[in-house]
Amino acid sequence: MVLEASFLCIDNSDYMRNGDHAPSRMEAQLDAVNLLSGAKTQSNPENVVGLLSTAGRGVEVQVALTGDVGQVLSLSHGIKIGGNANLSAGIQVAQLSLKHRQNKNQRQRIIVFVGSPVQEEEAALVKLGKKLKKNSVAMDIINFGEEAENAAKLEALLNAVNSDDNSHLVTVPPGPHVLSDILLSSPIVQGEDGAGAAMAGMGGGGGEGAGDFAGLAVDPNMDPEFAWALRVSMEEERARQEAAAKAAEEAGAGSAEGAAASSGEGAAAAPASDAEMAEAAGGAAAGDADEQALLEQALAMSMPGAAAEQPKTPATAPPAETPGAPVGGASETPASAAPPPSAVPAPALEDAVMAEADEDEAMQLALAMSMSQGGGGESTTPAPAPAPAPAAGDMSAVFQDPSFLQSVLGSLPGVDPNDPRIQSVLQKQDGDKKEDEDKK
Amino acid sequence: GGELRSDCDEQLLITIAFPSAVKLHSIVLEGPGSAPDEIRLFLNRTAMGFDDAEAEEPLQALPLDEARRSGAPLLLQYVKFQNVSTLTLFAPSNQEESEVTTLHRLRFFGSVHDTTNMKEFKRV
Repeated sequence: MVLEASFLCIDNSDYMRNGDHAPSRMEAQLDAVNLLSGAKTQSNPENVVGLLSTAGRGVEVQVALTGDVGQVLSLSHGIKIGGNANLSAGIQVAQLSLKHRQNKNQRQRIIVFVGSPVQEEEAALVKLGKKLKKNSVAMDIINFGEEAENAAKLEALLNAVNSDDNSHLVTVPPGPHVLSDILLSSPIVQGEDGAGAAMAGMGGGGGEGAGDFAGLAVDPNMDPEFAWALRVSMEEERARQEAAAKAAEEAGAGSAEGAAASSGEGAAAAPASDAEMAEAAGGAAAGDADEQALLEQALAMSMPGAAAEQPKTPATAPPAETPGAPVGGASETPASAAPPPSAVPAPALEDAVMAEADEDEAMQLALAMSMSQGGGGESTTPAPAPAPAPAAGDMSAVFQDPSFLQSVLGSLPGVDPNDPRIQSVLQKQDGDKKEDEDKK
Repeated sequence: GGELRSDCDEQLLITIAFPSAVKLHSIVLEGPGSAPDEIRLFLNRTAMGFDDAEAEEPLQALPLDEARRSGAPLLLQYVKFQNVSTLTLFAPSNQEESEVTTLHRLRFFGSVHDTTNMKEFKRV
């Protein structure tokens, strides 16, 4: 609800041809201009926005301050890509335009997109920032594209401008996400009063639709506190996914362990346990997997809490991002890679089980439990890939072997394999197995 | 007890809006060594920036020195300050030429315009 005049400085240098922000940096930027100009003019009827380009033949004011978003949109699409961006000149021109705004009651704000390496020295930027602060101009910086290279300079510029937390820096790394979606949940659009501006953003964005809460059946106007909580958890989830993607990159895609770990963190709900199952089998077959890690994974799978927690995570995660997220991709790849060694897993697993028998009985039990669960799950679902199903069947067959179960149970301290209760359970399992086979 | 310090550089711009129009007679200003060396006064200007203050001719400029920043009243041209609703004070630099300009106290002397006292108002 702040009455302000905003000037958008967009980067139209040759770097904007890069396609790392879908569909290209320039298009992503124009989409963000659409969102920002809509959000700014909607938040107060007297708000105005302007637009200038910092590269090309020099800094060029494309749209002088206006309340008409349509004008900004139509003229923004005529901007040509070329040359190198001149950040400080762009900011100075924007400041001059803001100084001559018609309504002096409007606060001044410059929103600058930086997608190419910043040429200026840090000291020069700090000096410029102080000048803006002195003239009470706020500044929002969107750092994308060359974000790592520019981070230090832009941070310094922001610190020079910032007073009373009125300026923000949003860093958007390349990825499957959309630039304007990130901005929608950033303080640039949210402003100081959160939900109020968010709904304005939705109205103005038009194409963005329900933005953050698409597919969640949540109306931020009805329950702002809930919407706020959702937004916070989304941001945390996004940060976590970024960290996981980075970790996966570092570990290297070739390593089976790395893939298993990243998929363990993936937010995909139903396929997750199946994928983990297949991976666990694949890892044992490869023989180089750490046995301890395998057991821990089995233990995690057999925990009753894990199953209950799984569906919660995707509910708070942005649904638009999950399928395209790098972690999602990672969890799919090993699952499809699993079928070839279909015959191998069962004996290899048995070996692993036998080898571990005298090491850690509790782990052993957990593995056994998870195996029987996995077998049940596979038989009830209509087996997506033909290969895993028989593999799982083999595994459950291992546990139907009474002599093997006897040896496993016998190795547990304080368990008498001849106890009538255990005997009855074993017999019951045997009966279940027969029923399953009848169904088949 | 407190003090007012300039934020980004040595320049200081203070805008004071009075609740109703006043007549100003004098100003008393107290400050340490880094007090302003000059005060430029502008009348009834809203939304004034540093650039405007530097470029424009003030209504009155008051040079300050050691003696005049320790509580001596600075007389204004009374005829020019008869209808003051907003007063802008601009300090371009300070007496020490340091980065931060400091003020300890700023007092205004004058009188309120004669207005209708609604308690004495009688219907006819």
